[in-house]
Formats: sequence, structure tokens, C-alpha cells
Amino acid sequence: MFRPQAVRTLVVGLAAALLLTGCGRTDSKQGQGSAGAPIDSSPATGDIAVWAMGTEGELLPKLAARFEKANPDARVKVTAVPWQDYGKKVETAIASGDTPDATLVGSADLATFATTGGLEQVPPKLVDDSAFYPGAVQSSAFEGARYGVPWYVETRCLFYRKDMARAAGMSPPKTWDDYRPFLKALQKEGAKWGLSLPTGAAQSWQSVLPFMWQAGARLMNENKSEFTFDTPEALTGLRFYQSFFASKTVSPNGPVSLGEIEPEFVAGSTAALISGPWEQGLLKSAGGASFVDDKVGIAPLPAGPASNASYVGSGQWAVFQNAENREGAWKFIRWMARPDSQTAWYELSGDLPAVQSAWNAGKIATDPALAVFRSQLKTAQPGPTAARWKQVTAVFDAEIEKVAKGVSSPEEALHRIQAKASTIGTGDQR
Amino acid sequence: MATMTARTVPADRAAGAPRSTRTARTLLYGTLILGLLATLAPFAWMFLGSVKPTGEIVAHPSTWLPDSPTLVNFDRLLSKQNFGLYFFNSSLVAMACVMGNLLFCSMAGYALAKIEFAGKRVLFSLVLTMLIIPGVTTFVPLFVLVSNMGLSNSYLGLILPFLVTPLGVFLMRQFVHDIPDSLVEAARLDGAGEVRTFLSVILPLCRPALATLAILTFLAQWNNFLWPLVVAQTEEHYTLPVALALFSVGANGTNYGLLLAGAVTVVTPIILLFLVLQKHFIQGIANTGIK
Repeated sequence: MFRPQAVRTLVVGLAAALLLTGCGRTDSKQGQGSAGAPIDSSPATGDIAVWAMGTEGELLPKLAARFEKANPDARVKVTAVPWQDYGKKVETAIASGDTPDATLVGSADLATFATTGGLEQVPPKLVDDSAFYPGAVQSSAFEGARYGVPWYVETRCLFYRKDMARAAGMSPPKTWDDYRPFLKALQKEGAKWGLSLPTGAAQSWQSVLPFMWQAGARLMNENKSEFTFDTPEALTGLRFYQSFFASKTVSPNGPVSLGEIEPEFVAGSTAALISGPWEQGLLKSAGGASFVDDKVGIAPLPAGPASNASYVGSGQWAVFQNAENREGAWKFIRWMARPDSQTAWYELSGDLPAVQSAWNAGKIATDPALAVFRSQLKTAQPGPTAARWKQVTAVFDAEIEKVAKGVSSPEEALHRIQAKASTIGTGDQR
Repeated sequence: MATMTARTVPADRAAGAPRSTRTARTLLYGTLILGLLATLAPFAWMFLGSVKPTGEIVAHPSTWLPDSPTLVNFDRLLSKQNFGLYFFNSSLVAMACVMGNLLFCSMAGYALAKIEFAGKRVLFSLVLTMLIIPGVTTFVPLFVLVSNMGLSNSYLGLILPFLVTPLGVFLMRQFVHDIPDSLVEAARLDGAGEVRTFLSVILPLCRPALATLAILTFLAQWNNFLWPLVVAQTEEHYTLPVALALFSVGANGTNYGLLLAGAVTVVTPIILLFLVLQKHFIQGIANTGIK
């Protein structure tokens, strides 16, 4: 079918393709969005085009209708975008300059988008930073500037089988010292594994960094120009993580995909897991409402030597550098950060408010499960906000897998993470 | 792959002695049945799962047959706003791309195979080169191009970049290449021009290749996720895969019931299309294999 000429063409083509792929830009121009003029307090006007992902995108028009009532000359046009691959969509839009005015961004992606220079800095005095949970504000800051306004937050707590703990006569652990005995007691009640932890699947870092924070580790230096993983505190945290596998309390083959662990938790073969506020919904659809009421307990994470810090994720609002209606977009975002709008959004969507005072009234103030998340949020932290952090997470997750499977010691893993993280760098352009 | 099977089957038949033929055949059918089961199992799981409540889909240990069959997943899917529109968008884009590919790829294939002109070899080499360049490298530039033409968020933006594909041109060129030159010459002697020769002689002979191209193009466009996701700036231009991801894949969890019901809705037209085109499609594979 192929003649020699065709083969030659294929070879030349292959070489050309390789060459093209090699030309990807890694160190080409990276920028910072500029800081725009302050936003006045007059009502918003004109069309405001926004992207919001998933359920948030489907429900946002209901909230936006209230904004339009207060700002009769403004119209919010919401496009619901799938969470799946939304980063690709945002990055492509930035590259072409063909963007809406504002978009919802997951806090873990904010720094990546901000490095492209496609996001505008939050105008001075737009919102009061101290009104939000500190972790949420922290994740919007990048290279000395702010690129997002927190909208909703989530953090991870300990979900455990209340019925098994009761049978064992145990109450949920408060410190690292109580942690393993508690889980071991649950295992005696018939659970194969006391707890489920990620063991190297993507995003494992979100569950492993808290152990380091709880031991007091800081993973970037003071001016955020370097990663600092080779500290005694980080080692203490990682050793504690590893001890769960050594003592056969946690399966070395942790969940790989979403929705994998819930059936095991319902069946009682895994007695505890660490997850966020959405977990209640997942457990309800996997085990039924009565299962959640009777058998699921929620407790704050047990505290290590320094704290019981957990991971905080948040939905943030960012405005594109190319926005046609930046004034209107920022006004809408400022309105969404008001405590009453935050409460209204919680009632519409169940997303936890990023503004602390929005937790003071209504159902959210009295719900016992939410009280656990509320206390956890006070100390919860985001991952390092650096342009290249996403690249480091790939290394981190791979090394974590080796620790979980007993191939590598915590010392070796941290050493390698630090070496590779130093090579990759934070990407700080200042 | 098609080439290999087409060649190995006759070779086996020639080499096999009568006694070992039966063993070979049993082995062959055994393997085929296993392969068939492995291919069908995920489909069966999908169809059965779409009528289970979510709790049952993720239940551990899992079961094949639904304990309490329900249409609640389909009900929730179809009650989503604009579902009909997304289905229409997907069909429109896929059909337009199929039409474009059938017409333009066969035209280009005919020219590259049967017409002598300067630079033909270079052109064909370029087509082969384009086959190798991975789509991700051209993704962002392509979008910038489409966006600069003012075509983002339009049907044209969804369709235009895929109206002709290098694979299609290559496929048609190879097929037309093997049509005897004498047929083309006879047509010319009878006074037919290029257009007439192409439409009345070449195209009818290409039916198997066209069927293959049609189903490949339809499949690629019907399943395409990333391009429509990026090009469609508002929901009225979403296609089914984009809408399906929006409804069922959350930031922290997937609604499997909705996802499976959506998958059934998306895959059924493809299965129907395949059944309709099956005869031509298989013939197309066989023909490309014989060469």
C-alpha cells in the first residue's frame, strides 16, 4: 500500500510534527493582568456576560434575577459551562481574546489563569477582605496581587460510621494520638479499613498537604519565591500519613475515581473518609437518607502538633482583561459577595458562603453538620498559590503513591519532591 | 488491522490439515465469542444502568439486572431545558460535516489519484503530513483563527474546520487510485468532462469507501467534546456531549444515573446508523484490505 516515497513523506512529516510539538512555549511571555480603575457605587448598566460551571451555572440565573431587580439597567447573561475541561475553555478564550466579562474559577486553577495575563486584578477597595474566610482570600492572591473574589467555599472534614463508633464506645478523635486507636476500634467492628486516603491518584495532594500543615509545615518561603518541602515539619506530616499504611489502617490502594469510595463506606468495609460538604449528597444517593441520618458522623480533622488545618477550596469570580463591561461585571461580583446575597445563594444551591457573617442566620446557623465545616473553615488553607504549582502537584502525587505503596520512605519522597519543585520553580516573574 | 485479517484468514485455510481445521475453528469461534462478549458487556451495562436508581448503579457488589427499574434518569435528562435543541445541534453539525467530507474528500481524492497536474506529489505529501500532526498542537491556533473570522459561537464555527479532513482525503485517494484507469479513459472517450466522469463513473464506484468515510466522520463529530465546548459561547450552540457533561459531571462527583441515560441517548443514533450502513461499511473494510 505504501511506496518508498510515501514512507519517506511519513518520516519527514513525523519529524515536522515532533519539531512542532517541541516548540511549545514554556518560558515565553508570562504576564500579570493590570489593575483597573476603582469601581464606583452607582448601579450597574448594560449586558454582563458571565460563565459559571456545572450546577452553579444552571442555578445562577435565579440569583442574577435579584441583582437585575436592584440594577434595572443591567442584564446578566449566564452561560452554564461543564466543569469537565473548563480550564481548556478559559485558556483558549484568553489566548484568542474572545472572552465574556467574568467567569467562575475553581481556586486551584486561579493562579494558572492569572499567569496568562488574561485576568484583571481585583480593583482596590472593591470588597472587604476580612469579611471572607482567610483561606479563601489566600487562594485568590498571586504574586502580590488579587485576581479573584471568593464566592463559595468548601473544606474537608472526617466522615465516620457513627453506628460503628457507638458500638465500639469511641468518640471521634480530637488529636493525632487518638486518631489511630479510633480507626483501629472501627476495624474491630468489622471494617476492613479504618479510613480511606488517596494514594497517588490525581489531586492526592489536597489530602496529604493537610497532614504537613497540621505538623506546622509551610510549603513556600516568606516571599513565595521558593517551595520548601524539605522541612522537619513536612517530614513529620508525611511520616504520619505513611504510618496509616504501615499499620494497615488504610488501604494502600486508595480510591482512583470519584464515586468509588461511597459504596464501600455504605457497606461498612471502609469506616471513615475525609471529604467535603458535597459528600452528604453523594452518601444520600448511595445509601439513602436514613443511612446518612443514622450512620454517618461528621467531625473536624484531628489536630497534629500545630493545628487541625484542612484544605480549603473555593469558587472565585474573576474578570477578564478583555471584558467589554468590566464595570458591570465587578459590580455584579461585589453584589454577590454581600452577606444577604451569600445567604440567598446558599438557600438556592447549598454552596457554603465564603463570607463569614452570612453564616449567622437561618438554617445554616443551626445545622450541626454545617457547624463542623464552619469551625474547620477557620483554619483551612489553600495549596501554594504559584504559577507552576500545578506542575509540582504531578510530581507530588507520584511521590505520594510511592510512599503509600511502601516503595519509598517519607524522607526520600520529600527529598525528591523538593529537588523537582526547585527545578520547576514557582514561576514567580517578579 | 483490516489488512491483516484479510490476509491471514485465507492463509490459515490453505495451511490447515482437515483434522486440525476443526480445532482451529473451535479456537477461532471461542476467541470470537469471548471478544464479542467483551465488546457487548459495557453496552449492556450502560443500557441496564440507565434504568437503575443511582444508589443501585454504585452499589457494591454490583448487579447486572436492575432491582427496581426506573425511568427517573431519562425523565430528569429530558426535562432539562433545551435538550431537544442540543440533540438538533449535534445532528446538524454531524450531518453537515458528513456531507462536506463526502463531497470534498472524494473530489480531492479523485484529483490526487487520477488527474495529472504540477505539484501533485507535494500536495499529497502535505496531506500525509497533516495526518501525523496531533490535533492538540493546532487546537488553540485553530480557535484563534475561527474567532478572528468572527465565527466563534456560530454553527459555522462548529462545522467549517471539519468539512474536509486529511484522513478522508487519504482514504478516498487510496480507493480511487485502485479504480482501473481504463474506466476513466472510457468515460473521456465517450466525451465526458471531469465533472461528469467524477459524478457518473467514480462516485458510484466509491460507495463502500464513502460509507466508511460517512460513519467515521459522523462518529468523530457526534462524539466531539472539546471543540464545541470551546467554540460555543452560549448554551444555544451546545451539542449533546457538552450538555451531557454540564448536567452530570460535577466538580466533586458524577451523577452516574444521568450520565448513563445520556450515554444511551447519545449512542442509540450511532448504533442505528451503523445498522443501516453496515453492509457498505463492511464491504469498505474488506475492499481496503484486499489491496
